[in-house]
Amino acid sequence: MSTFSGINLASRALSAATKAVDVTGQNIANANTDGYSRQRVEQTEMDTVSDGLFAGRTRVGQGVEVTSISRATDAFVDARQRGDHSTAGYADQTAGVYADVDHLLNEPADDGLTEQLNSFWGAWKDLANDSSDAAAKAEVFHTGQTVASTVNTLNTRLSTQWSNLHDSAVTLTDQVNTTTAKIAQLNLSIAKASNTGQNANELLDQRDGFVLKLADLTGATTTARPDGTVDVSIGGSTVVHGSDSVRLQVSGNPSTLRGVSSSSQVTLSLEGSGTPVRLNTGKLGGVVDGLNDVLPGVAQQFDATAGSIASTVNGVYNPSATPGGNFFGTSDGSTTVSAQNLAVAVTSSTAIAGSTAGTKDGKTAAALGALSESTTGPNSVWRRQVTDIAQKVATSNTTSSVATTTALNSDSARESVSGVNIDEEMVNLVTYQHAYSSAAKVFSAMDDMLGTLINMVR
Amino acid sequence: MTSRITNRSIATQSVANLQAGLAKRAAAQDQMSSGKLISKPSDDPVGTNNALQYRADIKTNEQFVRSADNGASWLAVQDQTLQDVSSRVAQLRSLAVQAANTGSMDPSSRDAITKQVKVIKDQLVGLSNTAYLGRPVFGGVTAGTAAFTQDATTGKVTYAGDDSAEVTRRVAPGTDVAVSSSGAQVFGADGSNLFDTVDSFLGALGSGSASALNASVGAFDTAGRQVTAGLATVGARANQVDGYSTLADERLDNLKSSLSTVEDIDYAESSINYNLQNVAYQASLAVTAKVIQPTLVDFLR
Repeated sequence: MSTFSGINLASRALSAATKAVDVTGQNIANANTDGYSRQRVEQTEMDTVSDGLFAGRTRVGQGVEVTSISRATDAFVDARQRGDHSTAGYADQTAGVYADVDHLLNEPADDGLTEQLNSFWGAWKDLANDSSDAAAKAEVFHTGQTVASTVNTLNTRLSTQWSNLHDSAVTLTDQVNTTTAKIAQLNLSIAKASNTGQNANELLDQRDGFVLKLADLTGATTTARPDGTVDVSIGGSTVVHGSDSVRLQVSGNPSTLRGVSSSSQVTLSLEGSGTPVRLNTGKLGGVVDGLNDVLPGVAQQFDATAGSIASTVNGVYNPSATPGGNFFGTSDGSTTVSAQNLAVAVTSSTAIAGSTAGTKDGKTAAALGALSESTTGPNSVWRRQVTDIAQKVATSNTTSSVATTTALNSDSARESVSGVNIDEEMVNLVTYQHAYSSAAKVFSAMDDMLGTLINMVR
Repeated sequence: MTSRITNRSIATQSVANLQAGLAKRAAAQDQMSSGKLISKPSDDPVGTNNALQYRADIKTNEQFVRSADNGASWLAVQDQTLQDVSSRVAQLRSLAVQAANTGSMDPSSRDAITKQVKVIKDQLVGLSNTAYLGRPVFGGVTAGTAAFTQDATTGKVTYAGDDSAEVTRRVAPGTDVAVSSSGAQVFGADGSNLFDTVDSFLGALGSGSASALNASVGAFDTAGRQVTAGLATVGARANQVDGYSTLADERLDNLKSSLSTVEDIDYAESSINYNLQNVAYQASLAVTAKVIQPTLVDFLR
């Protein structure tokens, strides 16, 4: 132990306390930063090098050394947070798709399809009471057209929703690509920093934030590498490998709702290699499933309703299936009736025949009017579709709110591990401040003692 | 390890809870302002199913009431007409009795009676073709405008209506009530209908044959009974239609109130619910204000 080593000891104490206060300041400054993990100084005591020639007893330690500034994180909690966020993203997106369908159904309402059908049957009943009345025929024609156009409007709205959803798929894919590029960039910076032994805490926090965003979008999983970088994979394919990233693209043929079928689906794939990426979680996964399953399913239900209307009415109006004698037909000439092409095939109201030819018995009109009482007629088909969709909406809402709550819980868990507590930082601040002033006191004591020593010899 | 709380987690949790309370209050407000329990199908899938069923039933029952009214009008027209026909037939019968009393009849009085009978016959032809809203009420389901046509040269009246089906009105689920009287039944079959009887009477007046005139009296009796029978049927059907109309009206009231129960809110219940949510929200606001403010900084010198 040398004469002046005490000064060294004090100065080390001062610098350690200063660094600790700096870290506390950093924590407080970032208390509300998204994704920030609180940092702590790791201090170790410096011991004496006491082997060999200069070994001796009762040597005093050399002071304190700050070995590192550590980040408070828990990898398992982070992984759980990512998983819960991707589930919540998927459920939330699906619930959103269903909610839009719910609104466009427009039931129960005074201008919904049910009321239009009811008016249609009523017009036939009026015609049955006097089957030559031109006004009654005009009413049948008009209400029939309204029914057809209401069905067409349902289809149009659904198609528009599909197109909007497709656009959002493209937008989300762009977001995914931006995020993976950023992750790769940060990986590079982190690798450089760790190779030179620098502290990369802020970069790690930023990168983890982007990985969480990616998980929310696509359900990403990570693999850590020894140099501190991570590889990220989506749907089984690696999109970030060290400092390289691969871009995702929306592929697949269908550009409209009607273009989707079991052989023609919207898919995601990697740019360049074209490897398909199958997502079953995350917002983007929810969007793709909405495009391929949910909305086409609803379209099929609308088609079933349109088909029921056309076939039931035509079956009574034109029982011998005379060509050109149908009441409902298609607007585009095809033989299959769908919600898109349902239209009134009768050319004008005067051509409507409500009775058997040559009489005014109103039989046909009465039979058509009686369809309002039928338990298998178009009313009941539509009612079942509406109820079915309503239940699916309600279920998706419940799933979404449960998933959101779970995600909030895992957010809290992460916050609990990595978050900044102001009270704690305040206590630390006071502690380190005291340490600093005490170390300064030690320094001034040593200074006095040395002064005494030097002035001893005169 | 006990859970570590940070200021941020308190803030996040408070925001989430405030949001939830606000959402509940907004939903209660939405219900009250729209007056509807079900604003979209997912609010109550089973209720939606019932509401749609009720709506269809309401429209159906409204139609039953309209059809019943229409049928009742048909039957009223027939009733009035047949009463007129009946009184004419009674008149003809008394003329026939008068004419059969050959002791006091001479050709000139028979001439006078003939003239009267011809006028009554024209009136009867007109009555038999009574129309309601452009359709002959005794013509069945004919597409033409007349139930009976008179040959211009012979004066013979034949049935021109269509009895292939009855004119019916749907007044209840699966129930059709006939509202037409076939001209062939009320006035008699072609060849021996009321007008043929009148023609034979005219012939008998011309010839002066006592036996023919006596036969006419009997024939008019039969014809009169046929018309009365027709009147009875019309009366019975009118009662039936009336009954169904009342039934449909009552059913309509029930259905409307059922629909309202499913679709519309109970204002008392809704406003209590709204107030509850409002109070809960205010309370959570007050508590949040107290919780998020103090930190150690306030207490350090």
